[in-house]
Amino acid sequence: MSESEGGAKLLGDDGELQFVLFEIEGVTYGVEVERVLEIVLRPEVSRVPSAVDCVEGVINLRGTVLPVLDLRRRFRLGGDAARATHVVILQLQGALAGISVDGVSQVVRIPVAAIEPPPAAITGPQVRYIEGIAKLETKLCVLLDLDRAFDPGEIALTAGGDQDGR
Amino acid sequence: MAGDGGWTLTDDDRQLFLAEAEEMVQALEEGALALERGGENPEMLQAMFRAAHTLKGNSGLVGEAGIAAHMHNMEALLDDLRGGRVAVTPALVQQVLSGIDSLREMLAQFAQGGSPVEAAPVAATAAPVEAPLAAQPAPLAPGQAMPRYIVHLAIDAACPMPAVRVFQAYQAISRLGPLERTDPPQEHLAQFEGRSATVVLRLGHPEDVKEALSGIDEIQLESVQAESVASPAATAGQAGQAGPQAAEAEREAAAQTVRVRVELLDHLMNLVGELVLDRTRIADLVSRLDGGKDQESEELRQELSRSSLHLGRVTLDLQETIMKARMLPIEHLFRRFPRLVRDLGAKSGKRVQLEIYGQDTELDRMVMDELGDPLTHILRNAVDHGIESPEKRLAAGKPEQGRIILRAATEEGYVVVDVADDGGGIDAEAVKRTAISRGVLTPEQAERLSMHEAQELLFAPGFSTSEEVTEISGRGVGLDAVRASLERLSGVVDLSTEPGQGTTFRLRIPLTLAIMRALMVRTGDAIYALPLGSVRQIVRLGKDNVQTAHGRPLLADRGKLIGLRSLAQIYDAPDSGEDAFAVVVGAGDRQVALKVAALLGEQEIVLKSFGDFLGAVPGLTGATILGNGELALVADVRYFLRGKEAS
Amino acid sequence: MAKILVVDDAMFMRSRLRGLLEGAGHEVTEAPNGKEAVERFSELQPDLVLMDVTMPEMDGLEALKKIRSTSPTAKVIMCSALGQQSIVLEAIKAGAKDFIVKPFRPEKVLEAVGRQIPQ
Repeated sequence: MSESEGGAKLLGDDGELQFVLFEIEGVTYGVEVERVLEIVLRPEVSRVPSAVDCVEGVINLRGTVLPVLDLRRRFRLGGDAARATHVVILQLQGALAGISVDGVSQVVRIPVAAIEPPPAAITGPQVRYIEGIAKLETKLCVLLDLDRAFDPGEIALTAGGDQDGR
Repeated sequence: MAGDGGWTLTDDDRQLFLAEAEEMVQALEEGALALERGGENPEMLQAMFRAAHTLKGNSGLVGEAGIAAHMHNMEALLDDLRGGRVAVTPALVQQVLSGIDSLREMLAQFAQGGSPVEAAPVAATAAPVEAPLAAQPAPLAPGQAMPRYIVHLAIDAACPMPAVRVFQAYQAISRLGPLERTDPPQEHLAQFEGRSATVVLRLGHPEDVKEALSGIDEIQLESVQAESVASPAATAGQAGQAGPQAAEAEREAAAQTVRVRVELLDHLMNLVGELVLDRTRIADLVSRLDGGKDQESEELRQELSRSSLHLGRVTLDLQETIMKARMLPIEHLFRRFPRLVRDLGAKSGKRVQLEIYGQDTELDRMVMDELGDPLTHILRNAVDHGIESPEKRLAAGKPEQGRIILRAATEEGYVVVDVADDGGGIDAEAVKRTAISRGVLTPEQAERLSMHEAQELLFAPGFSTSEEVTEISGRGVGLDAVRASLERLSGVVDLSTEPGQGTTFRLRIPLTLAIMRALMVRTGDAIYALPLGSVRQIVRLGKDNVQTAHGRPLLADRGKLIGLRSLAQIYDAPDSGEDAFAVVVGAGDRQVALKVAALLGEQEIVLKSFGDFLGAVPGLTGATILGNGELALVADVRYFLRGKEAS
Repeated sequence: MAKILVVDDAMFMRSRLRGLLEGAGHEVTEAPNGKEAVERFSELQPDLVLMDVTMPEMDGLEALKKIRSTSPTAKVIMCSALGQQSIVLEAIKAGAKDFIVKPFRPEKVLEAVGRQIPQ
């Protein structure tokens, strides 16, 4: 259900959309360029204890403390965030947060026609976080639905067990 | 203002008037208290204005000219407030409050059937009256067939709104022909207070003017003259208005202060934080510069070094100045309490005197806002449960009048607020009984409780201090809410009580939420900041002072055993096993020793939240940015003092 | 006799005016705010409205404008207080027929009403 919904939202449009592409564990992901505030070299990330699972820690972005989220843990990809080279600062629902990425490739224009709903082969809860799949010249690109992938309510919910450490 | 309105009043009328008046007084008082809290908003000012206005109208109707005049003054003041012509100052709120008090007295007198009361000289800040405007002759239209006439109008001396009457007259006359010139000019009518007006227009039948004006009250046609007859221009009333200079002075004083949103100050603070970092980097670069190669580069290096030092001093100064901008004397908060205590005492039939000390203690504005509710609650408790009834007090050999002392003082980056009553104290046994009856404790558990632990029960959720729930303290709101509020401020609330002698609540709140002094420690892979206010002592760990009892590590210090925990473990960090020190932190009489690897010294830190996305993280109040740009986590000491290991 | 709508947020004021106007043989309906005044007006089409200026929900000026926009011949007398001259002025510009100023003298109220309603 959710995949067709996600796809329909984009497929209703004509023309092109701009995405920032980055890589995590060999997979190329894309987020809409409007949601990207900036991309910084990955600073030292201070681990925040007993915070929710997909929160890697916090960083200092020119005097503001921002959480860094870990897509690896959110998507259960495995791997180590310490390999990441950059942090993409994103505008999530009302709040800023970063995600650690292994490399930032480029900003691309993707014709709406080139975006397809996630293939049926992808199953599991993660499929809800995917807006669609774009076929680029040389590779496939997973376009993220950020509001679903990092819905603070949902994250807090899934982390209920962790937080109860008192 | 007509006092003898000619209405006859029945008893029902008086009752209706008084009932409605009471509502208005309440609305005004609520509004005034909100103003005092700095929580005014346009709707509230509008509601206050409406209340004053309605009461003015009603009192006029019952022939209470005194009350009506009083309300007129108050209305004018509120009008200035809502129009932004007057700033909310402590003095002004006081003015409104005492105005309400006088009003109450007047109403009480009226209720007793007393003679019409006189207006008390309060709330006399009259609205600044606009200066009369000069007449503005409009260019005359080119010659027309009909002759031009000058119409002189006179307005009754008693007419309260001459501008409206004049406008009605202009409107009526204009039906006879276009008005070529008027004095006062139409566009300035709103400010008109004069008693005469002039209209110039071309007329076929000048006698029609009288007929046109016949439906308008309070205005007389003085003359209609053909233009050829010279006539002195009627001037608008120029009566000097009392008090414009005073009003001007008030406006000027208000202009010397501006209201700044706290978020703006927070942003400035962040920017200063960046400056500090840049300063550190520059200083670092200077130290790495290899001077001395030649005269010129050595001079440049020294110059740069001096500039960098100066930048550091200025930055520090800037930081302190911004902090000061956020501070207000705690008087802003305390000011509402005398009335609260008086009213509560009156309601419960107790005589209570509130003594206030340390009103000029300064506190962060945001902290102060948060402190209002818990303090109100504690004061309510003191009046309601602390102070005994006059009979009980006399029987115990105490003065009939109870005393509550509210005291504020600054201590090492903290503000300490004491609320001390000389009432009956807290009966630990009664507390235990209540706890048992509510199923909080078994009788056996209660038996083992220390006096202090029994007192701690008062802060348990839903626990009320009174055996009978009274109207004043209300239901379901207990000291747990007070403690929760204090914890939000990184503050602490404790109580000490002496049966028969009274109870003292002590609140310790950081001076500001944003800046605090902290002991920086390192353990595992991270640096932590421990708020200095909670640090009791530092002990080097050795074989002789670490013990184990029931599998729990303990720190033996001068004959006392203190629970010992690894800071790294508390925060789920890898314990490197190199902890060499214990930092004893505490609040009230709970304390715990924390193992850390290294002490990095004291430092002033700027507390930053984790941001909206993460919100509150248990055990941490936030993070702070160190001089090298790295982050340190700021420990919430209260969090691990609640744990079982604390003793 | 005329149908008169008395609009004031103070119940006391309404009850006084009702007594006075009924005593003079008029039929009186009340409304406690501008919003209800507009509704009552369209239901009842009264001959005259006594409209307070300062009220919650919808103030007198706004209610006047609403009423005049649907019934351009509506007769409205503004009931104002000292210090509201500019509002009253605006009300007259917006089509109010007359105004009275609180505290009212009964004879002033009846005079103002009489000027609008030919006996």
